[in-house]
Amino acid sequence: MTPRRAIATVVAVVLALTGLALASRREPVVLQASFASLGRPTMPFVPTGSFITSSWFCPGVPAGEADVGGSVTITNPNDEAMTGTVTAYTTSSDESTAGPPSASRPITVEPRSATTVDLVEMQPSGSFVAAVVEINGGGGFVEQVARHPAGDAVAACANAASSDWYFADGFTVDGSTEQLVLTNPYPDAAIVDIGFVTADGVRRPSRLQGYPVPGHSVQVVELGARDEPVVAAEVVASRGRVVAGRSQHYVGGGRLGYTMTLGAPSLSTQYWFADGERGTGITESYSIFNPTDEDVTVYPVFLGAPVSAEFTNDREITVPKGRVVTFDTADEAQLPDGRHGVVFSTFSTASIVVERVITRPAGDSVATSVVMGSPPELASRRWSAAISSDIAVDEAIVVLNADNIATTVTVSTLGTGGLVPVPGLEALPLAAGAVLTIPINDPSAIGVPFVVTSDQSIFVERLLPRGADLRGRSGSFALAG
Amino acid sequence: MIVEPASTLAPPVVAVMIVHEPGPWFDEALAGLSRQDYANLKVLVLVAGDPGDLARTITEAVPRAFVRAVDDLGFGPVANEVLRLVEGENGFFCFLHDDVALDPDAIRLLVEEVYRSNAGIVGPKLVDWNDSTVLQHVGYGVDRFGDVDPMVEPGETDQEQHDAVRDVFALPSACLLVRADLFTSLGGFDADIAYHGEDVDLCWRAHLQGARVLVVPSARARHRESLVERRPDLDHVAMRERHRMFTVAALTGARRLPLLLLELVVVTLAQFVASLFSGHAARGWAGLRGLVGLVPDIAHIVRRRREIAATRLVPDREVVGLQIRGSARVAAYLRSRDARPDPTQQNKAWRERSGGAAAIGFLVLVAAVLIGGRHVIAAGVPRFGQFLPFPDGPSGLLRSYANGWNPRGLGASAPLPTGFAVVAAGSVVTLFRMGLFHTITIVGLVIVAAAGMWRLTSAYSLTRARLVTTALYALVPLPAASLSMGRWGALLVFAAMPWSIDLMRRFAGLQPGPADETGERVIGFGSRRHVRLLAGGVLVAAIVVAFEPSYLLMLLSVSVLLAVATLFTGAPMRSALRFAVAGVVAVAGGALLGLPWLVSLVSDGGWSSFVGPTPVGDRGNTVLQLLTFDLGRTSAAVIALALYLPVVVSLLVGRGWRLGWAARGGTLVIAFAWFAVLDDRGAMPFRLPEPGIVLVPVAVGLALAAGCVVGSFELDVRGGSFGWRQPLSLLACVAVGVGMVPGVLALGNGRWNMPTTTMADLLGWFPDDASGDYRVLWVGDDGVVPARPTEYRPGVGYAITSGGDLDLADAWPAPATGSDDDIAGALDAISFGTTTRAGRLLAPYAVRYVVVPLVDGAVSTSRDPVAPPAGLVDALGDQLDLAQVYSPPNFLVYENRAWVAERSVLTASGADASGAAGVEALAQADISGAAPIMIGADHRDAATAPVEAGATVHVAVPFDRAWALSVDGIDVPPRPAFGSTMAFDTPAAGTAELAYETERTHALWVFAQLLGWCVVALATTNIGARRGRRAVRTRNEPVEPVITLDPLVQSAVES
Repeated sequence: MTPRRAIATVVAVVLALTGLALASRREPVVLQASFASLGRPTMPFVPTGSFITSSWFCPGVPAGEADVGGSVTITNPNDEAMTGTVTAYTTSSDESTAGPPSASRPITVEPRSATTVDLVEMQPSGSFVAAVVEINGGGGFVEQVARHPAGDAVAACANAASSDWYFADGFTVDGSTEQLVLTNPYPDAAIVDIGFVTADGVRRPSRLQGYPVPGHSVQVVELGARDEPVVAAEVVASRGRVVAGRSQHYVGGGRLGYTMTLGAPSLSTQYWFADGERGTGITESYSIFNPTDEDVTVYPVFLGAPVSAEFTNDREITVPKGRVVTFDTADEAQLPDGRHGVVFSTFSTASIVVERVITRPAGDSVATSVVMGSPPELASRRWSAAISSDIAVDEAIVVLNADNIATTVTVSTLGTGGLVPVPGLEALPLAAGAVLTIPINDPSAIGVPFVVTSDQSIFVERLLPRGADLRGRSGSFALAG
Repeated sequence: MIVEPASTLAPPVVAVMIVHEPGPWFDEALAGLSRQDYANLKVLVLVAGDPGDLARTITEAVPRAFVRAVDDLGFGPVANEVLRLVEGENGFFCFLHDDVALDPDAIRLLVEEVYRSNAGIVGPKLVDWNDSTVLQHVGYGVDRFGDVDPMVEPGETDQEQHDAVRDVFALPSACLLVRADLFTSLGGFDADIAYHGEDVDLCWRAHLQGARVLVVPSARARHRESLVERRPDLDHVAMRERHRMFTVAALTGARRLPLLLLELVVVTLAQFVASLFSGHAARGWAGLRGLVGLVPDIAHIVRRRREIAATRLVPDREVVGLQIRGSARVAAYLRSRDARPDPTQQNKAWRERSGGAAAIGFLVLVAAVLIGGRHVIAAGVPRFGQFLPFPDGPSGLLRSYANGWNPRGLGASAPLPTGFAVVAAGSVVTLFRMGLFHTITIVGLVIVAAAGMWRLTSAYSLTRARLVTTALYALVPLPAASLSMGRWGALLVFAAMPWSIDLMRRFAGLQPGPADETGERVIGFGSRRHVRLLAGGVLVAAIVVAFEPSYLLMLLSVSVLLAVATLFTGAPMRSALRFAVAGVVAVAGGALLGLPWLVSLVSDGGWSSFVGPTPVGDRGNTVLQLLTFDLGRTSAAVIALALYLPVVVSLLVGRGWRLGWAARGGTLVIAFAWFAVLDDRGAMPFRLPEPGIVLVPVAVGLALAAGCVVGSFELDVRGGSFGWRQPLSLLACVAVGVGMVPGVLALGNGRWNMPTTTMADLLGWFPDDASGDYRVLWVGDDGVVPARPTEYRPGVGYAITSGGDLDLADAWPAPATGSDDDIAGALDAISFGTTTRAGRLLAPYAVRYVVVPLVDGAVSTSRDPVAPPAGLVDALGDQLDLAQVYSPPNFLVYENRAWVAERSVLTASGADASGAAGVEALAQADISGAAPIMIGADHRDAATAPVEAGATVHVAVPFDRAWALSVDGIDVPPRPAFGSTMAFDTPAAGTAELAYETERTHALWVFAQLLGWCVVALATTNIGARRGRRAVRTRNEPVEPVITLDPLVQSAVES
């Protein structure tokens, strides 16, 4: 090698090594491999896209006694018949063992119609019957109705089971009962830890830690809190996943009625409610549960209510870590009477769950309805409901405009070739951020699934009759999508 | 046409000088000939190879010399040309090397002594070319094993102590005078002996004819004796030993031969062992090779013995009496011990000693490796990463290989990896003890790597530099990292790369020259050696590619870079090109020998089959980690950064071959370090193999540079005037020592930090196949999946294994089938949440368990676990027919409650469902409850089971007509089940027999492949070459004599 080449080689090697040294200043970017982007579990919605099968997990209906029961209603909005399977699970006499074998039934839902399956008829044993509805090819939506002498309660069925469930409200005053209904639709057992929060603080009874939920079974858990005006609950599965619903029978303390509510599978930064109301004889409160380890500040903002010098709509609520705070609209003295929507927000991370308790006069009595708020990601231009009112009622549908743009709302039923607007319920004007109540009194809309559409994002609640001869309404969100 | 009559004044002597590319000394050699005072001397000069203008030089010095150009076939065969060029037998031939200068009266004195003693062959006293007072040879003593006792000691001064005429057993061919009639009757030199041993063979045969062999010290000649330096292309030691063995086998009497051969085996083995400790390992090894080489030469030996028996006149016992009793080698050794030290050899003393030092150094290295892996050797290699046990014994492996059904994954009619056959063949090393072979193929690879580097550094003429290079290569943190992470492929590449580069180097003709040589020495050699070297390269590549296909890429890139570097060093273009050619041929040949598996592999996996699955984001190694080979659990790897100093210093201080190899080493270091860094960051246009493989050339380059630094310190720096070179070289030498520290530290653990408990150890958790044969679907981080993963998404891989056991076959990619899309589809369904019945989608493929690996003990440990891919556990948890079952913490196990066995009779509803295809149909059909049959059946044998009439036998393999089912001998036609697997609807009750019928094309492939391997293996040996040489040397084209020894012709010419 000539000296010139040798020098060139040395220079090249030194430069290359220097380059490596310089390159070392950039740290490698290590990413975690991703198998699925499932996102946080959220409140039920009507999924879009193609499915091989779609599953709906219904939280359960009471059984085992006279006058109680329930059903699931499967709606087929498509133009072709839909097939699937309903599988009912029930409780066992011994909480530590699996219940009777699950019962399955194939279903066929004709185009643009709904099919109702009586769960107690399918699975007569046990104190609660929960169901999983599998729809071949997807495309439908499912809701359940729990029948109780104190009033029927409509609840959405979850899109998926979850390892975490939260309930912000609970009420055991004057003999009111609260039960958590845990369903494990999987073949293997789930292990859950259950805690609850009262005014005294967090309680984690040892009997509710490592609580087994056998596969293909339903477990009913009595929290054991007595005379508590507010009992928030938290179910965390250390193994497996479950579906959690809460059965509440209000018999005093200002509340009357029956509710069966699906829990919130995750925390959120916001919760939206469409059906708030302030007025004579109406009590409206919100339970805000913060199960995290940080205090959070929550800002309730009322929508559809005029802001004035007296009503500044800038309330702040501090929810200590692991505690639940009740916010009563009666404390908001300047809030005008009438309908309003409300959104609870926090600038913290997803850390709260909020439920609304509203007790309205019902004839000579009152009727209490408890509704879990809807997280912001469910704000949708289309809402579907499998269960409607069997009778003509006013103010059956409450719509909140989530956008600050005026829009119109149309209520439709399922018809040949697509949605068929209900006469008189087409293009109903809805001001920005306002609340609109809609009656169901056209015969074509009674007792059939309906869909509410808009040009802007909206939230839709139903106020359905409680059934039988009971007065008052039972509230529930429709399904976004 | 006779052009030169013989003189009548004295018996004619034809001096036959064999010339091959002579040096400046040649004038003196010619002058010695021209000054001869013998009256009737003819000179015949045979120029081997290209004569150039030698004819003019020769005729100027010896005007009446006859010059003939002949093919360069070696001394003996060329010398035999005299039998065709000289007519008559009434005279003498005096054979001379071209580096022999005769005293003026040498030939006359030799002829006189022939007549006086009635000798057949006589030779002069040979003295040193440069110092005629130093004796070189006064004949040879030879023992019954053909070993030569040189009679004089190196450097022995001529004090007339050997000046008596005496009988000797043999004379050096440098100068010997033979009666022409004797030479003719002997048939000349053995045509198979080109160099080394032709003289002993000739003299031994002369003894068999009763001819005396005498040394005539009054005649004297100076001799350079520099064949080793002049022909570096030849393996002199090996030739010497091979020819010695052949001569002994061909010339020993028949009665003594059996016992002697037995003795020869024992003595050779003993010499081999002794040579390891005496610093003559190469000679010991050559002896062993020579002995083994007799086997393929048996036919030739027998023929040769028959030829000699026809001319044998003297009983064998008389010849034995002329030989040295005992061992000539031992005798020479004992005499040399008593001799005074040779002052002329003092400057070589360290090199003589270094032979022993090399052996000891290598033994220390081997001991270090054994100590470093003591726990692994004692308890067996942990089963993790690619260190999975061999799947079967050798016969089972070969049967599988010949069968044509590849059961990996879902199974397919596809060639099995060539590694199956290689492992089966290689297990002969351990007498088919597969466990021991497994350990050796892992622990032993470090030793193989060191041996390869030792061989490669024969390009260095300094043993010390070779030792440092070898030790450094074994002690860089890379092999320790590969061992700690279970990367067998990386270890294989690490072990093979020096061997491949060495073969390229030899093919390029690069040889070490003298220390003061300016450039590098490049030699040429015959085409047969080219073929042998290329075949060696192909064989090495093929063996590695059978396990690690990415070696093809590495080899190609290394050869191209070495070619470029060689060109840059100023070496001839031809030499640089040969680097590239050797690499290309090795790659092409290695790929060809890997057929048909390689084709199947590439067509299935494309580029990923070479480089592995796509990482997500960067690979995650910092530049420092890459440069210091910190890829596993190695301590203090950062210290290895010191090894980069010699890369620069070797270029600054090196000269000659040191600079050349420093440039090559530096090129490998820089290029592949950058490749590794850029690939790690995803900055390359294409992905490269794992860093442990890409960094192997870096380790080679560092080791070469370190050797060059030591060589330069020894030859270029030490003893020179003081300047910057001395401290810099010293610093670099210290850096070399420091850089080895991490490798030394890795030895302390006794198991190279391999895990003690691995995931594979816990697989006994899986139940046996009592309820039917089943498969396991592994899905998770592709670095943690214990079998070779199929890429699902970047960083996410899946693999399907049979049952819960893992073996080496699972480390190879499974053959692709049309059903792979179904598995990927099922994973998609899980991933996107499009169903909660993914278990049903997997059921037809007998997937009983879906396992998420968490801690494999290597990539992911309990202390530093690798998180499973995001969303995987949640997505699996969504599935209604997958039940998570309790398992060891190393993995999450989900049992598919919808599974059916690999071979089963479907339920009625299952049979109905099997007629439908598509995921929708599968997701809606619950086919569980099928009855398993033929449990534990092996695809290599037919399996039987009783079946009912109207049963549907389901076989969970992709539809393949090579699978046949018969009931009581009546074939049942197959039909697709669930759109992709196989079902047989049995028409009648009876005994069903299920068998796989090997396709004829597969058998032909296997045969062709076997043939290819045999041909290449044969080409790496000398067997074919020797036979070829024989063919060339025995050709007998008519040639016109140019000299006559016939007195009648002589008279006629004179008259």
